Amino acid sequence: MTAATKPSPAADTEADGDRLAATARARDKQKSWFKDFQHRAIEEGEPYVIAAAVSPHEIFHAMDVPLVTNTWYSSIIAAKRLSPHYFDLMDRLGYHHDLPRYLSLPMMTTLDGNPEKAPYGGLPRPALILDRLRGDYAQRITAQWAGAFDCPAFYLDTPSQTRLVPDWWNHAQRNWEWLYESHRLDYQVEQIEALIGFSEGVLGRKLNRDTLAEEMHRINEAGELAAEARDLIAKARPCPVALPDQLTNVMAATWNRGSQWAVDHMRSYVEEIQQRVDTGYGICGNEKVRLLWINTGLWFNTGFYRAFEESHGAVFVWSMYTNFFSDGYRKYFDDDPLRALAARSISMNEQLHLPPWMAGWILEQAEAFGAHGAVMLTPQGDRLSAYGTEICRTSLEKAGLPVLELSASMVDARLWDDAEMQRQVGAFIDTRCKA
Amino acid sequence: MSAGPAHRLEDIASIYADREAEARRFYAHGGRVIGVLGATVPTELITAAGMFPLRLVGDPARGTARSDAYMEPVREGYLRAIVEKLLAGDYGFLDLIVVPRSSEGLLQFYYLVEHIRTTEPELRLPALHLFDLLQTPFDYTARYVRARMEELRTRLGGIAGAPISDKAIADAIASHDAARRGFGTIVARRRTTPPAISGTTALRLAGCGQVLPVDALAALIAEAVTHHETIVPGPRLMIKGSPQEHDGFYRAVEATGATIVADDHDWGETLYETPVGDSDDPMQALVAHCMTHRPSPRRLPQEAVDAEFIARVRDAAVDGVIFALEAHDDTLGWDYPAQKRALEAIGVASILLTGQSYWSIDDRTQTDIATFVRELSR
Repeated sequence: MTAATKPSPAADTEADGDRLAATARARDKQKSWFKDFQHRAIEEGEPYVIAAAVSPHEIFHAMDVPLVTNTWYSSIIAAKRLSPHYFDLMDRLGYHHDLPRYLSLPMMTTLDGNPEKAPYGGLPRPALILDRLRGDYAQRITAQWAGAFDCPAFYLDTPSQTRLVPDWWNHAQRNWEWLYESHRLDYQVEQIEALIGFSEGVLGRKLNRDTLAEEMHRINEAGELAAEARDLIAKARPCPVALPDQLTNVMAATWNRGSQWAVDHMRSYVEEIQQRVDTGYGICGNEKVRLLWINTGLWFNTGFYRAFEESHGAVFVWSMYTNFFSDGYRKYFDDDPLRALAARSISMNEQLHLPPWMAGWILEQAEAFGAHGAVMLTPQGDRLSAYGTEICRTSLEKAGLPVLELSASMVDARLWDDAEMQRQVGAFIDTRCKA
Repeated sequence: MSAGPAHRLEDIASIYADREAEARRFYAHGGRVIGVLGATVPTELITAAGMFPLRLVGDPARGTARSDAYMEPVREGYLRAIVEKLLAGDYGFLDLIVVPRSSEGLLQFYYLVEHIRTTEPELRLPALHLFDLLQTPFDYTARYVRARMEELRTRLGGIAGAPISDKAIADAIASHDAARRGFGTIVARRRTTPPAISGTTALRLAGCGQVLPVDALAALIAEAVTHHETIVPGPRLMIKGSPQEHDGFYRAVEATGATIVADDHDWGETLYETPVGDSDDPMQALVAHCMTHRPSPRRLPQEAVDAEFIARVRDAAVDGVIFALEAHDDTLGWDYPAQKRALEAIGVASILLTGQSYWSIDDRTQTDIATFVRELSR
């Protein structure tokens, strides 16, 4: 079989016929979230917070404070193909080419001082920037960005796990005190208490801890539904839900975690999948090969996930976004929601990147989903995202799961060679993935 | 711990060339050797336990044939080189390797090597200890680090066979501080006009201090302060940026007629800049020192770090600064634009060299350095 040569279907036009109704609702929710944010923070000047993706957003949700993540704004900049403009600015300002650029794009819109160019007129001055100090550069970007805004920054440090038990996902929901190590959780709770005190002072609002506890319970409830969805998709033959639909629905619930909307949405998502399973519906009528997508999502080209269905009968059935919400976010608790919140954010990235946590979890998914191979995306120019990928790849291969590694820029769509990437994946399916 | 044989000044080059030799001799005589990575491990605790702290160094000549199977090419060169030696069995004489969490690369090194140790026990890699040094400037962080340092103290005491007393720690701090003060005289001699000691010699001395017993370093420094190199006056430079674990870059720079009179990386003079000092609570003094005074990319706040840099530039009357950043640098480059502006404000030239290889110095770098020095000489 020859490699596919058709361009990947664009995300907005991909196989509309098999898109879930829930997906449209998830997109509508994200649009309404943005309108609300735009009205409150941009038009009305209400204090808002910029926060790292992996940080305790729940505090601000419970305080009813508008919040955006730097990654969200980065993705908007990239999607609007404005990255090259800000790359040029980085060059002019003296930031060298090797630096990871994805997370710095929002800061560049501020340094640029050109609201007509920036998406939505640029972000206004926040009341606070919150960052979690994974890696060594987050503190630098945040400090410089806060300096440009003349606003305060708050840093959550990252106490390190001393032992990596192989099956973290079996302990992360109910046995997290043991899994994440008590001394780390003690410290994380102290940090979050300090964050609450600092935020209350800056924002002029008081955290209602009962509200926080209710949110935390709802996150667990939504996480259970995400687990149900994952199980349905994993067991079904053929695959009933395309990966872009999985991404859209689960991520919408993740960003809106703690809300009743997220619970209701995940319930409708599960029901719709169940209906498809009951009728034997498959997104690819010729499904022969089932693939996993490992590492960062291909956000600017989600149509790529579907490019091999017609040509190869190959379906991407899983990525980490399929069930990280259920496996990583759920934290059951009796009487201490803050400690459960500490447990949620304390090892979030590590679970996805550290050997043996990364490889072990992926192998578990490969077995559950009946995968024949995996495609691993390694972002170019991003050392932090590359750590652990080599040992993960070799571990998966040793366990019998073929892996293809693709290297690509995550922020500059111009550098994505769709035909070449399709050729590589197509050859990988042909030569290494046996149904 | 015995200081071992007295070293003469002429020995600097040979000690530097084989930075494990002294530790191996110590081991051969029944001593215990503890490997450390980076510049932020409280080696005073190891000294206090009567053991030998040895900072591990990679060997660029040995390549990465073994480590490539485990490590992505974007990882820090020096860590790939050390893993190469680990996998080759070079470190069997170590009782423990202490890995500080003072950079993401070091933390990832710990997780990777722990994974290899667990899954491939036949390799018989030395045990590791993660010293979870956090550096945010908060009281609760200092308490956290204190607890981690107490854990390290207990583990080291267990290896040594006896608990480490407060008095032993205070004595070790005093010895290390004496060496730091001694190194201050070396720094003063490299600052004179013309410099009395070359940058290459100063770098080697700083490196020797990481691989010798502290008393031996003090003796070597005492001899070095009488040393005088004949240096033809030329541009006065500072080297700043990624670790300069070997002296090839310094030799290349000084071969152009410049002299390196100051440096700011974790194998240079900043290792010895600030004494820990006397304290009723020596452990707490060590905590503060490790969090704020040892070279580390995670020190906060950056404004204070930058102010120290500019103060050093002024103190050394530097004509130019070479920012040398390793390939795949994802960290120090964020600091560069503000630092460059600060240099321009005081009339000091600089050059940024990115993509520097751990393994060799390429022709383009040689040319860029020569051009920079030539322009400064005008």
